[in-house]
Amino acid sequence: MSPEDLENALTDRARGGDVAAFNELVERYQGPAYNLALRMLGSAPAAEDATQEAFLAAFRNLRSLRGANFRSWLLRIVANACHDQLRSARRRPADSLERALSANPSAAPPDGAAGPPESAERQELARALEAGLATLPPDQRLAVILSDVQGYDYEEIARITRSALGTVKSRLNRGRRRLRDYLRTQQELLPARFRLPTEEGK
Amino acid sequence: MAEARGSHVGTELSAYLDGQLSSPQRAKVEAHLAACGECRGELASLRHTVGLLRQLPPALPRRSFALPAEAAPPLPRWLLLLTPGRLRLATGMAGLLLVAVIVADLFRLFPVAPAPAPPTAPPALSAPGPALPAGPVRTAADAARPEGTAAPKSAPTAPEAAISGARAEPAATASPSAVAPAPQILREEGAPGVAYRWPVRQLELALFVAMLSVVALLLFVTWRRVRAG
Repeated sequence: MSPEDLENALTDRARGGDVAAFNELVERYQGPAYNLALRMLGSAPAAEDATQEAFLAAFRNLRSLRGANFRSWLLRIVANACHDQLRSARRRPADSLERALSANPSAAPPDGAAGPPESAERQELARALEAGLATLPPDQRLAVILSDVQGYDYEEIARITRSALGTVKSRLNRGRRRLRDYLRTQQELLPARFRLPTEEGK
Repeated sequence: MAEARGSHVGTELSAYLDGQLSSPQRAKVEAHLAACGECRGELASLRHTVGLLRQLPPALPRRSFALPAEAAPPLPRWLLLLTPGRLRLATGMAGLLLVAVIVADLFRLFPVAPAPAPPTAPPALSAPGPALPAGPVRTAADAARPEGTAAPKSAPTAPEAAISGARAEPAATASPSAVAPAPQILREEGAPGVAYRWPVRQLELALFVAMLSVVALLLFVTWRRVRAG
């Protein structure tokens, strides 16, 4: 059986209410799902809430899957959960500030393999990028994360965001430029080797 | 050297970076880049930014997101298709249609059937008819109309629109008799005194029932969804 068939077998069983089968899918996709939420929301607790919400909603709505690509469908649900979090955070600004302060997602390096100086630099870079991503409007942020942080192609991004290719292209372009402009204002905070090239022709 | 703003390829650079341009488009961008330092700089900075993003390490989740064994099961498809939004829309549409039919009835816009020869018996108009002033009828219809148009926004007002629509009905049937010149005792659909070619009264009733059914369905679906968590 191909991996796709295996996955279809799992979704079929899950659709019938088999939680164990669904949890196998959770295990397979919780990495990308959590990462998307983390980069969108900028805080680990909020990302955990959104990811859990998304998996609960995915299980509840499994019957609307109908042969579509599971990963795209799931990530769409995660993106929606993030939008909900952002909306409710806007309504309770004190709460979200507390969350942002409570856990810095880049505080702990994901693996201890890198030596100290490099990991400190990488942490600085990650912090700058996260701050930059936070300045983007949600649509552009989502496009940039899906494309450049998670590596999905335009077609998959279009499926996940349910928009046309042209929209993906324009959001990605605007998001990247905005992020680049932000990083230019923060050059001093970036480690030297990560700094942007100076502008040419000006 | 300064180039016309319009010829810069800034908006295409992302797509160019991602290999999303067709061959002729790519050739055009490359030709421009060869001549334009500003766009070359733009491309370099974009490429650099994307490179930085690609270096963001994937974060490991601190916990598992596996669902508990008692997680609420998948909802049946019919429940998923009947979203509250769609049901509210259906309620609103049924309400508007009902109001439109009542208004048309009030203004006797429906095609009238030719009247048969009137009997010689003296006119026996329903007593409340002529005495009923036109005022309350119009206000009831007016009250129904704004409530009907507001229905798509909030379903709870729809039943009220239905009820005031129903109240406007008997009033509407009474008022035309006050203005009908010839006394005609016709028990056709529509107002006494006016015969419609179409079954207008049945239509109003059917729409009213349809609207009530959709509202009941909406309440049921909402209850099921809330219960499912």
